[in-house]
Amino acid sequence: MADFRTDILIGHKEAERVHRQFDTRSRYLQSGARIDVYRLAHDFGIPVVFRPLEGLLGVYVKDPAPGILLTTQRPESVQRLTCAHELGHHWLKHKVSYDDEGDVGIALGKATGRVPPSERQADAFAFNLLMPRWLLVESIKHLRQLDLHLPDPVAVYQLAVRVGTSYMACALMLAKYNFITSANLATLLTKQPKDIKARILADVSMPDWHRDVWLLSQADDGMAIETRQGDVLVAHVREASTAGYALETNGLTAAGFTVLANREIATDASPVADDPVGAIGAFPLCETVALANQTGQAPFEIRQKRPWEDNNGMSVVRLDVKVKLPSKGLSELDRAARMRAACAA
Amino acid sequence: MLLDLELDLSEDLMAARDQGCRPTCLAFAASDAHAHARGYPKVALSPEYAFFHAAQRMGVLSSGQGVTMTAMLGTLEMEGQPEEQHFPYASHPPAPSLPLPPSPFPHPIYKRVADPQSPKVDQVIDSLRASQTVIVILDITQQFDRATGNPALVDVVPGDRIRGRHAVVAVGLACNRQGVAYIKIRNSWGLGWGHEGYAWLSLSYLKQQIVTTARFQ
Repeated sequence: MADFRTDILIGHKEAERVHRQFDTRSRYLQSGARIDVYRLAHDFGIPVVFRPLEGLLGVYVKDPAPGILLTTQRPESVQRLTCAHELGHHWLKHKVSYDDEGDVGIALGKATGRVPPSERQADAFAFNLLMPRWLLVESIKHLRQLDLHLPDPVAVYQLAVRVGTSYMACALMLAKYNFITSANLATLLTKQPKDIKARILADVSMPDWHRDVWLLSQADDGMAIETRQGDVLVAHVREASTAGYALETNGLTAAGFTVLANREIATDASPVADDPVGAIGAFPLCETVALANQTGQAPFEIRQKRPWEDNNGMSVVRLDVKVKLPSKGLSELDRAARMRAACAA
Repeated sequence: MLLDLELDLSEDLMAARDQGCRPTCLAFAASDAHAHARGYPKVALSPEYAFFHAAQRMGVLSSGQGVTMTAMLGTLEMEGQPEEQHFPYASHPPAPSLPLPPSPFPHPIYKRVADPQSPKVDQVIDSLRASQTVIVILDITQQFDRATGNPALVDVVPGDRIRGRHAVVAVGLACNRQGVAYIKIRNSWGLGWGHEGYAWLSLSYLKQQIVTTARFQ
């Protein structure tokens, strides 16, 4: 029987094979940093169904045809990891599997003899499928443009939101790849995502603390992201106030977002080494906090204009945001495929 | 509201310019004050060249970051600046780095020493009365943004919010009928702001918002 380390290695190697064979880097990335695990399942020919599952996170069935059941009673990050875990069972040619909290998300935790090798392999597969090293390298690099650096819990949380996994799974993977030390990991695991969200939002409270907080900047301009109803988007942009421009967030309301706060958070007009007056003309950093409360596709755009000029000003940051309801029934892709088949029949 | 004009050096200067959406206000204010101090106020000097060298002195070449008065005055004394036509301004934010001037620069470069002054409005007035323009750094407010009409006046308003640290050039002096003194400033936000790019700041507004000043020798 293979030992713990061998199981992990098998899972990782097989996930790497999927990345290579399916060219996930160029074909399966969504929201700039997420492996589209549901599309992978669809392309494997495996339907994914979301439904309440008492005491289970997911099920992989083989007969009469392969399929995946995912619970509706967990956050999206857990659903994605479970889906990747069930895909692992399929790819690794395992038997039918009924997976609960003891099977999913354990691969990088403490080795335990009670977990069957197939679960360890499927879990290692899932972690590497959703968080391959190259994806973390690129995402960490991108986060630096938001002035977020490891091992800050906010950076780890934000990385998890962007790659679409839980905070804990992301922290474990960062330690596995040596992006952070084991001491860093121990500290990170003492932090609760809710407290990290509260730290990002300061005095703004979100209606549902189970939802995610996206931290965006001008570096995200042009990106398309997929959020869920109730997620909060926090945009940090520079207002060209010393060039006469004022930020405008009216478009956000028109696009279905609820603006919770607009505030200046930092200026560069603080003393520097050789000059107590500091930089002159610096554009202050401003924060807009908005709630995604209307489902559908909408532009998240902040503009700025000079009040006396008769034009629409200019875009500071614009993202295409798809706001979704929590998944229920067939996955979106499978539903669309069934509809197409029904229409063609 | 009518103003009794005491002096207006703006008549010597070229039309007010536009920095566009870039943090280059100090480069414009320093270039215009420099042009006036040279005695050729209608020959525009290059803010792009001055901003590049000041930013290089500070090691900040990304957009959104301003430069210090120390870096700008050091630049005009040591590196100087050419005429605008020889290194024109890029009104849209250049990315990813600032336009690079050729080295050695193939056109005449003008250098001049400027002295930082204390942030005292009385000294600004003394300089203007000596026919010298003054670079004024102030924390601008919403009222400043909204300057409009002729004359475009900016006064102290309770609850006014600071918008950023900005550079302008003081160019004139006047009083209204109630004896309230105003200083005329030249901005770099184009001809549409204030009155043809100029506004009058009440002395009380300026005293409240002024941060520092500088004057060319």
